[in-house]
Amino acid sequence: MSLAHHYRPLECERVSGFQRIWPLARQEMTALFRTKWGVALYFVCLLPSLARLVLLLIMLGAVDLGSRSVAGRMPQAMDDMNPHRAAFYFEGSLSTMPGMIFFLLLTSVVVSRCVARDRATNALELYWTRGISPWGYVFGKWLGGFLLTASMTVGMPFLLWITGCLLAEDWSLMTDTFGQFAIGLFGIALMTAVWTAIGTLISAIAPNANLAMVAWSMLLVGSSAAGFVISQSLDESSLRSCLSFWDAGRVVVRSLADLPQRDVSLPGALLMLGSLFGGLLLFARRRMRVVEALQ
Amino acid sequence: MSVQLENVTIRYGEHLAVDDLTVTFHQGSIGLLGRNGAGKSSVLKALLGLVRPASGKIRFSGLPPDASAAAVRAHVGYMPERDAHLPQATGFEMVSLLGMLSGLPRRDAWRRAHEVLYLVGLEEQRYRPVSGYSAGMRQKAKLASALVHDPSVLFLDEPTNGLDPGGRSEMLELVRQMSQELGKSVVFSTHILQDVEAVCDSAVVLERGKVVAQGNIQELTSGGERELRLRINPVPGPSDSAARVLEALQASWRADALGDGRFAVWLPEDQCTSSVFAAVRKTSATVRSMQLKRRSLEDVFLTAVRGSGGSS
Repeated sequence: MSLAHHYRPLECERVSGFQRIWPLARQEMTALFRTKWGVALYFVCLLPSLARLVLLLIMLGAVDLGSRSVAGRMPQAMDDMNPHRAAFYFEGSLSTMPGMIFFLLLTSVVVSRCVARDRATNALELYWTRGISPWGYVFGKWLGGFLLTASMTVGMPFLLWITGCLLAEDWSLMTDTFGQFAIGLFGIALMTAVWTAIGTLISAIAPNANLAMVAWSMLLVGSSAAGFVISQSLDESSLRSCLSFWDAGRVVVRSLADLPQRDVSLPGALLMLGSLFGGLLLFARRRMRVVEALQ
Repeated sequence: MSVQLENVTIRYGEHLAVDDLTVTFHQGSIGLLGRNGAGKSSVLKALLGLVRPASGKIRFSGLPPDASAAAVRAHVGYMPERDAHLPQATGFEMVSLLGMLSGLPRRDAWRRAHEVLYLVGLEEQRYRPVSGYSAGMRQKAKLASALVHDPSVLFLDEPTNGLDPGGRSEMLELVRQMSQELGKSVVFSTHILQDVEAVCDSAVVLERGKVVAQGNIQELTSGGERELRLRINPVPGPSDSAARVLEALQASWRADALGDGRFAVWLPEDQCTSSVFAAVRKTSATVRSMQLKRRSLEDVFLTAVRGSGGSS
């Protein structure tokens, strides 16, 4: 076969900037759904939201269990379970159980492996000899992981809230909760972005995908455990949000949404998240130098 | 498109990989030769803008001198030496994604991925995961990835690595066609000299980061001494005819006796075989057979490397 007969010169305008990075993000976002195990994992991660949906249907009387409009008679202490309160919709994403556990399940497979897996198959050499920079590549990978994770942490609360608004007897649920819910959702999106960025940076630093997964899991669970144990033993509850980056994120979101919190330190939480992100960024800068990746 | 390197020096910390290199890669296929660690891959990476030279300039004809690495890469296709693929991706997904990252709109990248996968002979396997490809198929997938954005220069780093003889000859044929039929400049980095002789017009030999030989392959292999193998019929008589012939040959040239009436004579480029005939005839011996060995690229390479102080 002669190439000259089949080869056609390319005649098209080249795209630039974000349009080059988006295909990478899209590929990262959809990679989980390539296998049936990935699809199963994703739906397992949606279980807490589905459980909350069932609760919502019962509370608002859509499913009649003989307790119509339970929500109206709930004590204030159970605000988190009251669909007429904004916290009902996003508190599940922020709780340690099930929120953090399912977040960990999803991100340990997607986010924490993204760069390390490419390094293992020498794909970095293919990516970086194209028209994107190493940091453009990391951004694309993070964006894909963030969008997938946000579909669970942000997308599901949003769907729950829309469902609640449509099922409620009048529009008061929507008007009463809109402001706080929107800010809370923004806070969760922000924290999901920060958490997935930390996971992506760990992946960029780790020598292989399995190690990245272990390091990410240990950091997430370990810092939470350490925060709990140390704050209990020193009887200083505010330490928890300064040591655990999950708890730090939760404090930031609850502060943004103006939800009541006791014994927490917002500056400590911000400092914790900032220093962790900054430290990892410094390490990743060294690791993502082209020369080192190509040796 | 031609590529010019002027006094380029590349360092990795204390290690000097390329030392004051000045070389021009003209249009056509050029073999970049050298032993492991000679600086071939460093030169390719500097050309791609992946490694910044400590000093010197790299110029691509048709591009401004201060062109960014991304602008350069739009005109350059690179096939890495190592096995490289995108995890989980099929051949089509890998090539089209890399096309999009090179700036092709999605529709064009898809069309182009189908075309180049067909060209390299992977049309039947394009929807299979690359991780399940054989070594030869993976090399072809990498070549398709290098071609997807229609570059004018192709840098191929050890493209025949790990291929069986059939796969190797297919790959060499593809490279030859890309250079001769599609008019692309191909820089072919390898340490397999036969591959370069098979497909390249010229060669650059690197040793310890310096050019020790360069030029058209025909000129390189025709220059210098040629080895002439001859065999004589023994002459009956009191003295040893072989010794007399050797003495006569050594009087004019560098020559060795190989035993059993056979000799090797190294003829300078400007002398022809008739003078050897005449010298043998003077000893009363007759030449039974004669074979002029063409100087191979391997001889050129070894001579150049030894001349630079390296061991073969």
